Amino acid sequence: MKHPNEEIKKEQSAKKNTPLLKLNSRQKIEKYTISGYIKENGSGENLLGVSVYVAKLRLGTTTNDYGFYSLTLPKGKHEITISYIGFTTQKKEIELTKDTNWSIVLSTSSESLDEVVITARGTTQESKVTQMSSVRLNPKIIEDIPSFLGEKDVLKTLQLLPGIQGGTEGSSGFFVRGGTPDQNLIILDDAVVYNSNHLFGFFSVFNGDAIKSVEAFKGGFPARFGGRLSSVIKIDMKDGNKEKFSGKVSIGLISTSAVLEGPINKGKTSFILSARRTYADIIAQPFIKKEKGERGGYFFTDFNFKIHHVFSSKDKLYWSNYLGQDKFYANSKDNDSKEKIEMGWGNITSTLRWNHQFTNKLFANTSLVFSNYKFQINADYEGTSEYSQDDYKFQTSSGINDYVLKTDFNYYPNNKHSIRFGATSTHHNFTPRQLLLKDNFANDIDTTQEINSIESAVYLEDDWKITNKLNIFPGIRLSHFNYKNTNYINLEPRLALSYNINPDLALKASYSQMNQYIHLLSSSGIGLPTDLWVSSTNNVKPQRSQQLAIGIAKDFLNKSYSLTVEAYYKKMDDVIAYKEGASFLAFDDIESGKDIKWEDNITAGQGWAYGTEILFKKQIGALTGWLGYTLSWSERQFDELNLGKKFFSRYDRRHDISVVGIYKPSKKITLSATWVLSTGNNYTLPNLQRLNTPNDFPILNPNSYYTDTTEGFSISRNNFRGETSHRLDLGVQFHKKKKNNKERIWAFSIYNAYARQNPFYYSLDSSYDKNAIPETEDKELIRTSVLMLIPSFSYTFKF
Amino acid sequence: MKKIYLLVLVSCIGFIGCEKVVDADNLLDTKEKIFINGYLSPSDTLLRIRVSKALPIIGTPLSRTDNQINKNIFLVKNALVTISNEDGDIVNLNYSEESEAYIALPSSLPILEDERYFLKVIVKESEFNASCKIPKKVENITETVSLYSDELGNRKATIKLAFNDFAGVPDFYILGGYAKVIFEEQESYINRLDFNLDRFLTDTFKDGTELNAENTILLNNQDEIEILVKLQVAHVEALLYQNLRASELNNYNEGNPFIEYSIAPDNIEEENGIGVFAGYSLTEKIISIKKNP
Repeated sequence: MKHPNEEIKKEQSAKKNTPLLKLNSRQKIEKYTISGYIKENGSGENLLGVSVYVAKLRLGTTTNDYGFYSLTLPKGKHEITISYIGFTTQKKEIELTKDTNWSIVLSTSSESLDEVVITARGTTQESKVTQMSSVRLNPKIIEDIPSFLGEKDVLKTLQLLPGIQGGTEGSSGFFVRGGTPDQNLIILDDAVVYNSNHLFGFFSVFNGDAIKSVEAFKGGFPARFGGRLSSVIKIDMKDGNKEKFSGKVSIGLISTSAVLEGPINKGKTSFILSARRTYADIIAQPFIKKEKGERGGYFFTDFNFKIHHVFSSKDKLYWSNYLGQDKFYANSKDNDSKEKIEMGWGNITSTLRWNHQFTNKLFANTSLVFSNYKFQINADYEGTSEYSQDDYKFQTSSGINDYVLKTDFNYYPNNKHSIRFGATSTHHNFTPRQLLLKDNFANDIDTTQEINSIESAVYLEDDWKITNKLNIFPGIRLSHFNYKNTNYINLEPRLALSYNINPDLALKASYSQMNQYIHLLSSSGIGLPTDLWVSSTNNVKPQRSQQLAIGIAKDFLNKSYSLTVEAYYKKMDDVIAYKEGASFLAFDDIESGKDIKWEDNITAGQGWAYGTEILFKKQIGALTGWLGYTLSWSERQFDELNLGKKFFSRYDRRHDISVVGIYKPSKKITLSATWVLSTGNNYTLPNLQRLNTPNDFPILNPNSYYTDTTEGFSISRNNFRGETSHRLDLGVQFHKKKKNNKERIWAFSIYNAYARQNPFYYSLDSSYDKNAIPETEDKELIRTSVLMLIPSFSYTFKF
Repeated sequence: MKKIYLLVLVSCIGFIGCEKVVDADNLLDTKEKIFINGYLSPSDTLLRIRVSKALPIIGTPLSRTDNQINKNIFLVKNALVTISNEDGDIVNLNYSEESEAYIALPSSLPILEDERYFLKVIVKESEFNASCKIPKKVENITETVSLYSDELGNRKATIKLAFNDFAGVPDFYILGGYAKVIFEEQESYINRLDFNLDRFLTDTFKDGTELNAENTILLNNQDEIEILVKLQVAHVEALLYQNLRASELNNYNEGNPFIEYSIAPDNIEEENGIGVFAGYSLTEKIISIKKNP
């Protein structure tokens, strides 16, 4: 593989001799288009984001989401460079005398240590792309870095990048540039994933084994994305090996996962199937003391299935599915009765996509998508003897169903423009509460509360190369939302631009407006399954944001380092929050069958987020990794909260540092370490105490007959910033290649290696002085920490 | 296999929470403040303002057995307290050991609907000010009562209370009441009416319409001869509504780490003072429920 520096040197010398520059502008230049697909050698997997570049002409393009590219060039002989992260760069000569269909097969560079593990927009050079505030993550890195309990986690890996912050210790919930988790659009093969967490956020739902690509946008959003204020996380599943059967089995401390992929009809149809299940409930059984007939536990599962069929070189079909589930269960049985209680939540997504290539310059994809999230509690009690005949059935659930039709076009009219346009429409069906209650001694309750709305958009964007130095990426999105008789129509302009001062140094800027029509009601702010998605209504306006970012991107070509520095300012309007003390999911309400008055309980306000992010990466060599730093502020103001005063949001963090290192001294060993430091989260805790308000008000609280002498209180929201957190994670992997391309990997990791007691939450507790006369009581601040020094291992077998 | 179980066990230890007392001095703001509390209503029989201290929750040891000692730590008994109206009429309130508050008779300063009142409290050399406006009284309360036995044979009375909201402005109400169940021979008893969280009502999205709430009381299975119900509707200032609601919710949600702590608003203008000086108007109605013959 040639060093990128050589490319640049060639480029710089070519600049003086570019044939295009010598041509008289009035002379007609004969141009032809090369187009086709770029695939992975051995599997036939289409590769997205591959760079196709003609250095002499300083012209290039990248493959779209389905591996298709189109590049229009002058007639003649050209040397084309095809490069992609983790793959050997190819240089090919082509004599272009007519429009040409040219599909390319790339081989992985896994045999080489010159492996690029992370890159932005699929190229190694940050200064070469117009897009800013985005990162493409190679799934390989997710495998290499230390993992919590052996679970390779996409979202936790993203948290190591500047601007993407984790929530509480161990959580896969994340906050992007001062936003909230519901402001992140997480898309798996075109389908929105509403709850991306397992086990209250300790793990994410994305099983790294089936993932082909992860792309995160923090700002400068392309017009094709919309519907959320703060980020887009686009995750693409593999299509399945079209050439041969292959697979992988991983056995970890808490789960086992397996992947199987292969051709159904060689070269035409392929499938990929992956599954994961935790077995903590099974392993824990011997340790749980239980009565006869009792059974209980918790597990989560993930199941991905995808079929890819090639009808012809111009028509392809993809059907991808995801099913994930968390479940707590408790069953008991005795002589008189049997009882079964279950609490579960999960996502189902199904995406049917049809690619059609109209011409060598026009490519289209049409998708039909179903996406579902459901949280439910079921309880069944059945009396089985003459002494116990009181049957009881209780079911409550909440959730959302989305039905989506979307179509996207890629049009490459010439080598200056890469245009995308399309339309999308989503029917949202929200069920804030469904309740079924059957009891021998009471009237049955069977109620369903439903909200239906339609969200649509059309968009147009163009990656436009104005000169060799200046690229702009304008876009416009027109979004529409309908709820009953209420309609919201919003125009969302987007613009990104990049100016190359030098070939390896670019100044960048971007502006984007976003609207969010659906909202997550969350009492906790940490992403519990009980949190509820609801629609904008005539009373609840859409959330809006405007974000401005500027930055520089510098590639240090001799040493394969890159540096990006970005500053951003984001203003958010009509963001929602619960009113003081409001929570509709107070458990005494669950069985009432009353409609949830969620609109009455929320209030709208505004938010500001601003900061600076620095990312310094080393991408090639035995030692790779990055250093990320974020300096940020995130503030909110609601007329009805905190006395109308501005306050710092819960996850407002002044400093976030992450250091990631992956060292591969030989093909047999991978050593990795990550170290993170972040300023503490904000909490609201009583800091003062006063005498209890006397009963001067004539209407008493009916439930309060006894009150203490004093009452603790706080006079401002998030009045207390927790202590700084930091931890070191370590990992080592031993690889052994066997015959027939088989490989086994032993991986060991330690989470929080120096057992730092990072705050999970804070509380106040009483302390007593028994020596005092009279005996006194005081309060003390308690920090609860979890996840100290967690070792884990996993065994993986690839075939 | 034993080794695997051992490893699992070691891993589980990491999940177990570790609790540690930490020094709060650098984390929590614990500056002492003056806490002032008083509600005014045309139905008041006594004007009452309580002045006390708000002390750091950590580092203020309190007696476990003697509440009076604790009260004396907090109460401020040497303040100068005055209330005035927009016409400049002023009344001085004097400290009462019995009330543990500064009091005056309302005859010295009538409290009237739609009028604004001003509170001034001087503690040592610091002055604290606040003002309030008395909301209009709800004209009329209507009620619907039904007596019935549920599927388990429990006798119950459901009382639905309704009233008309004042149109054009945001309004805040607090509902309550009592039910006195009277027997012929047995001693009567009193139930507080419990409208749950509906006892705090606003006209958000319902301006100028009828607002209502429902309450069910459980009756003893003996036959009562009469139930006397006092229905109460207080039209209150937003501040008072938010303050009482926040306090009640914080008590209800105490210890639940998943619910955000509510901030009770205050309207003391000066930095070192906090508290509530607010107005309300109370409407009461007593109804008699008699068993159908």
